[in-house]
Amino acid sequence: MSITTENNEKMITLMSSDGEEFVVEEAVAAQSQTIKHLIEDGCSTEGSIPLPNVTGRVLSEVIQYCKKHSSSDDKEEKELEAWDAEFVKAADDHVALTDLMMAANFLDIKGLLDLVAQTLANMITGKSPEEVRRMWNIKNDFTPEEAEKVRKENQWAFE
Amino acid sequence: MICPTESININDLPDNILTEILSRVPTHKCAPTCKLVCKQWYSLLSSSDFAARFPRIVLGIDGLVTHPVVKDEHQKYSFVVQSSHIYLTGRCISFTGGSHQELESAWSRSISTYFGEESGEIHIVASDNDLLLCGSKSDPRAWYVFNPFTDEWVALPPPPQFGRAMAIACEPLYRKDTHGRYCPHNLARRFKVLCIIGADDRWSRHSFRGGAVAYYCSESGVWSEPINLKHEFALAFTKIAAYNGKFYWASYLGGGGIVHYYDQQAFAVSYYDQQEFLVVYNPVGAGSETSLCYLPMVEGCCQLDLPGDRWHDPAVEGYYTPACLGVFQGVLRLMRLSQSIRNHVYSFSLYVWELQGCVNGEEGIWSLKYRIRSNEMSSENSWVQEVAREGHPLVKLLQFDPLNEDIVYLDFFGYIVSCNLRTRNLGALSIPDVGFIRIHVGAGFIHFDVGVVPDCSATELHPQPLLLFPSNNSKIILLMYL
Repeated sequence: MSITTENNEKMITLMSSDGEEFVVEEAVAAQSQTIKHLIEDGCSTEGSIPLPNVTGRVLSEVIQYCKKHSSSDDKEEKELEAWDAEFVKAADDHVALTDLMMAANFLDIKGLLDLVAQTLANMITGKSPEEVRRMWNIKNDFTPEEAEKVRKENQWAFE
Repeated sequence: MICPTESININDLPDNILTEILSRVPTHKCAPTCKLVCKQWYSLLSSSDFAARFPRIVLGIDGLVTHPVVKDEHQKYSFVVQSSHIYLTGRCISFTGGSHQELESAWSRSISTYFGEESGEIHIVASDNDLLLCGSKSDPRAWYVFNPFTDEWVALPPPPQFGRAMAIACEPLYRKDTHGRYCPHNLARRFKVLCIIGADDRWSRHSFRGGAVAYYCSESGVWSEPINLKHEFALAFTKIAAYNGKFYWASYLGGGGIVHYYDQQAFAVSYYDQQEFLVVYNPVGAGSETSLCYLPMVEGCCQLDLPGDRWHDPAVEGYYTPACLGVFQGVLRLMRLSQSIRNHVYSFSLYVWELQGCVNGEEGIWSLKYRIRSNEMSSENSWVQEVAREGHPLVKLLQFDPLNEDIVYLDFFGYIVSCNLRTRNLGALSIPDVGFIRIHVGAGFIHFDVGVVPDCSATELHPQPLLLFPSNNSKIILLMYL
């Protein structure tokens, strides 16, 4: 189902795992290497491209990102950076960002992957192991002895 | 239909994505924390795959350094040794995390295993990005480049003339591109070695006058023809910094120097009334004089903080110690002490400048980053505090910390003392279970140990960041003593 707009832009439809459909310009969607390859392989001819790993909520965010980054080639890099900063801020919390990270990985969008990974890394920075565990609900599977051993290994000679 | 959000736990992420995240966490500061989160993180951060993502982590990179085979009398040395662990012992101690015993087993095995008794005593002269330049005490023409990370050695052909000061430049293995990603840059570990040729100084046997420079390039495998310096600059206790593939050092012209004695032992040379230059040598333009460039030293950097008119007031004497140049994360830094004596009361000030806006090494402005007076320094260690409070003239500069921009190392009577430039806090370095790190005072200066062995103390500190993030040994200080 290829639609052509008045600008002669080729449009394609993306379908999320929960059945939401998004109609976007091919140039926008093609920032995802995964989608680009699917288009090249002719997988979109039968209608929309199904993305079984991405929910509608996440996909809409991804599309937002791709739109911004496809339309702003000539724009100031600084402005784009500011937009990126706002974008990850809007994604709100680390859980949403983790979803986004997963999607960026599946869709293979390098810029988004970098952006989200850096944001998550910044969240980890400066936190204690306990705080990091609480953030992501990670179970501490070290025995006290094991933890002590790891701590010793990383002991600095001096600060 | 609205689906409930099925959120993903961070540990449900495939290892490669988790790696993407964790490799962006600032390296050395967070390694212990992240390893303690859970076993999955621990094994990820300790894996060699993770290590391979880091610019300084070079273990297991294919392709050994291919150095040209040297065809001369030194041929017996010109081989590359591969082994799991060799290290200099006796002349070099390495400090890493963990106890001293672990260090012993991991880091020390006599170099004579490889070089036999003929090797004499080997010492470290200079270092840059993983490579160490080592000289032999018994043979002034023998020089080696050693990579402690791969345990590879290579012997250099003898320099064209007797070198009074040597330095090595090795560009980093990986370098950030415009997108901030690390790209291979110098995986082959090409390096250059600088040799300053000079003669003894007429006014002090503790310094010498640099007359010419020559350089060795690992790709060509030969020494360049020596190029004469514009003037016969005085050089003494000068640290040569390798920065962006060029060599930088401070030189002095005219004026005079003072040799300082303590307990009848000369320990330092300081200068007054001299014109000071920063000499930049670019080996790329070698063979011509254009490869040398002379920058005026930081304005006001030569005679700092000297109280009153010292030449007319007999009660006041002031001098400065030679500049200590170092590179921290791509920025050339310069530090020096200015010392003064007024009515028999000593004091000193520590200055740190940074070269900013430097593109080719020919432009750039020195900006003063720190100025700390001796009486502003504090320490929990009462002895250290006392030495600082006295403004003792025996305090000397050692080096910049390679990982922490706030830290510089000073020499307090042979004890290594870290100085936090921000908090002005001094700390005597110690190893758990061993005690404070003491270096020998009163041995010969490293560059002078052939022919003339002056009785000044010689302390050379070669800090090298080692295997940053995933490593157990977050930091290594290579310390040279004679």
